[in-house]
Amino acid sequence: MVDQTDRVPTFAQLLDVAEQLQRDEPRADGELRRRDREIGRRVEGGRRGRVLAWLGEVRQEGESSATEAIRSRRLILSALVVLGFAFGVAASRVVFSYDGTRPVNTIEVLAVFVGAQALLVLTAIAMLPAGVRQRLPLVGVVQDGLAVFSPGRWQPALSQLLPQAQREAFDSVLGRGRIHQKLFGDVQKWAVLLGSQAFGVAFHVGTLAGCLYLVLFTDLAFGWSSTLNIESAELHAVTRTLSIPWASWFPEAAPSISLIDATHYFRLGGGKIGGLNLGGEGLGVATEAVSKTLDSIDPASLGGWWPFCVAAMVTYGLFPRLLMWVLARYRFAVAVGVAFDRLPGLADLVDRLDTPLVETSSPDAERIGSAGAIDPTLPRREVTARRCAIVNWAGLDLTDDALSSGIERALGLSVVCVTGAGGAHTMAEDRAVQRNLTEMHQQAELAIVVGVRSWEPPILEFVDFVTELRAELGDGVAIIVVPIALGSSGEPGAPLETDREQWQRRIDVVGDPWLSIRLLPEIPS
Amino acid sequence: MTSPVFAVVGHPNKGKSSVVSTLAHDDSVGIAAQAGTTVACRAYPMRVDGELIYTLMDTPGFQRARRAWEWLQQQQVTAAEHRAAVVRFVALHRDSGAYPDECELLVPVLDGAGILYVVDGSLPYGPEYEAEMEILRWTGQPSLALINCIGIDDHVDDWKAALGQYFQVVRVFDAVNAPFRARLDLLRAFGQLEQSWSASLLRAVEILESERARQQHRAARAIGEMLADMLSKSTTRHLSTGDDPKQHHDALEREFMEKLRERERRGRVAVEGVYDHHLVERSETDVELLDRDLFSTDDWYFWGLNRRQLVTAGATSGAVVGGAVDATLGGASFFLGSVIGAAVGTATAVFGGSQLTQIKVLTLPLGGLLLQCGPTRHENFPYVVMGRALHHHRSLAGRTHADRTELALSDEPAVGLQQVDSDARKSLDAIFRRLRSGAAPHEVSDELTTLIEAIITAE
Repeated sequence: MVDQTDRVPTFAQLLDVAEQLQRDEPRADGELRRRDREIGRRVEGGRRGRVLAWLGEVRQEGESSATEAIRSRRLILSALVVLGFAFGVAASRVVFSYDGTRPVNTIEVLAVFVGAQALLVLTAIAMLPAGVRQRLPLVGVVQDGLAVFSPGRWQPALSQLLPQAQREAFDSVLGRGRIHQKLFGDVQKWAVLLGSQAFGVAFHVGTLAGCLYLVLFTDLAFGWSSTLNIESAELHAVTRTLSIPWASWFPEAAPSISLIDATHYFRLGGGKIGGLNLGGEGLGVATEAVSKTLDSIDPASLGGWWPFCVAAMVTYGLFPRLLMWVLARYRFAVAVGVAFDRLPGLADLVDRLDTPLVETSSPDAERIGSAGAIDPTLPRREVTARRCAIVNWAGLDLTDDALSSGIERALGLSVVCVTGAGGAHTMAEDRAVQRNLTEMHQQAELAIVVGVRSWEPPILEFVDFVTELRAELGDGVAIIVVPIALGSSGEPGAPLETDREQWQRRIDVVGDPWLSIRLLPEIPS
Repeated sequence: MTSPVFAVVGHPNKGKSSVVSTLAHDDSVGIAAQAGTTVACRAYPMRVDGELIYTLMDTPGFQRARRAWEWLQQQQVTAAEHRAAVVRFVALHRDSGAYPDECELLVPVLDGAGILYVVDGSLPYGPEYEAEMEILRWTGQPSLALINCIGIDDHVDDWKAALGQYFQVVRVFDAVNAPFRARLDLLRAFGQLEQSWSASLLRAVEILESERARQQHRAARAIGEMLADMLSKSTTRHLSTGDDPKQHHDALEREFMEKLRERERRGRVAVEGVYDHHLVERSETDVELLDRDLFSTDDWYFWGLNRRQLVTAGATSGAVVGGAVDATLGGASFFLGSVIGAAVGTATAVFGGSQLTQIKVLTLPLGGLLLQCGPTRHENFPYVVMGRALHHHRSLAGRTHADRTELALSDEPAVGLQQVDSDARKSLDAIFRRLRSGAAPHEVSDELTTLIEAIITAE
């Protein structure tokens, strides 16, 4: 017995189950019931666990396209991570660029790597539950706008760069997603968001890597400057607020007011750096003056901003993005689980696993007998006799007179006698009838007319009688079988076509050229 | 304790195979107008998860009963030796070829099977049956006679009078038209033949009743899924900007109708499969739409955007650019930059979007027209489809597996819907509204299944 506990299915398992259910669709329900109930009786656990155990039993090796699709997805995610990291490094190189003339503006660092990234956390709106999103104004607009620019949407385009097998596997997943758009929509959404967050985390790691590289291997000078008229004290208030998360255990990363004062620089006339007035010539003209001023300032203080920058980038850039990545992974897993539970055909599968299999049909192949065939090529000999003896087979419910007159009219033969055989008669009585008819024929040519109930099937007992009669009579004596139907008033007439065929077929199987079927006229309606 | 076995015996062409087909729920049993179709015994075991409950045996009909009866009478044995005489008859003639059908049908009886003797009550009683009945009586096995009326005439009373002298129980049973309850009653009657069989047959009845309830649930689910799918279906076609959508209406509508009909056909097959009707031939008029206006158009753009997303993207990017201008001006613009930027971006997307559709990159257009047909929005259409499905279900659920006539579905499906109470109707209306508003089929299928199952079980 396999013991499986209920668990959250993976994306690969979702794809595999969906694929197997689709593969099972054209198969007969009975066949699926037998297969799945046998599995269902052996596995235990929750609903999902039993389904996954079922998958393990029915799937053949190499049948899964999910493996290739997952590999493709991992490659694409890896590409997004690499791109994100590269962009991050490039962005940090730009923002932290220092050519020795103008220090790195920490305001710019904060704006790009903290402020702008904080805005992008608006993507968290897309992660809110649908019920909450619907109540917030303009959420749809923001969501649509962000969705357009989401790096996660690059995934289909990136898949075109993959080898053919992996691209086809990825496309088949997308195709299935399109067919069941509303079912897989959430899975796709979270896959896109997961890709975006992976890109974002990599971007921030890249910015940190780039920043730390420059801090470690170059001599960066930091300052701060803004067009707005910000006093050092105001900036100190902002940095103190931003430093709250790490100030207690990493005080070096909280800029002091003296550092802020020491590193403030202005662009235009009337500005100053480190307390030095530049005389209003502007930064370009005052480059030399700025350089001289920078030279006079303690180099350590010019680099003192970097712990704060790194801490801010980690706390307000990388950390939220990491949290969102973790949330996206969790929500992706939940979406996969929900899509799994709602897969078309899954409810039927669980029913087949859990419901006792009731079988009532035969496991054996049926052996059908041949009823023979009407043979048009069988030679039919003419009836030359002018008289006949009638055998009322199996107690046809007609008086002898009614039977005689019907036969005379239909066959044009004069009736010598009417006798009975079959039905309630014993075998000995049948044999006596055969002997008597033979003796009568030997005295004068006779045809033997056997009147039968047309609605009763011609069984072997009748064939035996006719065959034994032929053996007694010899060849050349006409034996005429007349299947008779009875009307509502008991009047004799022609049989139904199906009954006539049945009797004709049986007679032809005997293969006796002097044995034939003749009919009475139709019963008037 | 071994499970009971019942041998279905009798004269050829009296409906033995029809009785078996009906009780075994098997429409593959050969039922032919010609006698002698069945030449060998065939077992139909009822099993639940492999456990044998009881077995029905279809047998060939008597072909030489009078001759066999003559042989038995010649043994001149006492009543206590009757069964032994039959055993000797079978042992002697089994391989001789003289009595192949009699030997074949007597083997399971002599192995302990109960006898189910089938006659046609629409045909007159005749003395030729008495040899068969005598032979069966000599076996000493518990026996029940079934009067199966194949034709329209009624000779049941004559048959009852005759059969009552030979069989413990005589029942009238229409193998082709017997309702489900009548089949269960017959199984209970089987259990009355022998005390040791009673428990098995009562269990069989319980199992079949539970199975019927499960079938109703599965059928309701199949109908619900079909209905939800049909109400969500649409067909689309991507057109170039220069194409006239009206030229594509007829073809697209045909494609849409074919999708709907194909989904309805699949739903029918699913329901038939639930009740193990695999060979039924069905005739039904195709579903017709009630909507006059099924078509809608939208623009499609590269990157899989629709018009709304393109406008939003334009507004967002315009606002970002405008916001940069605001920042440059140090707030002096009072964020007019963002506002103007958003407006310009929106206008560009709205008016310029159509220009995008004119542009091609590597022969692929950046956009075009999306023509969509469906889904149908007519309020009565769901009820039309549901009514047709319930009519099909009603016709099928009451149909026996011996009935090989065509399942002709009339155009009067609304009968079942009249029995839907107002609360159920309100719930259905709400579900259909949700589907018309774009809810996915899987979001409503459980609810719909419950409502349809309630309608089915109430019938």
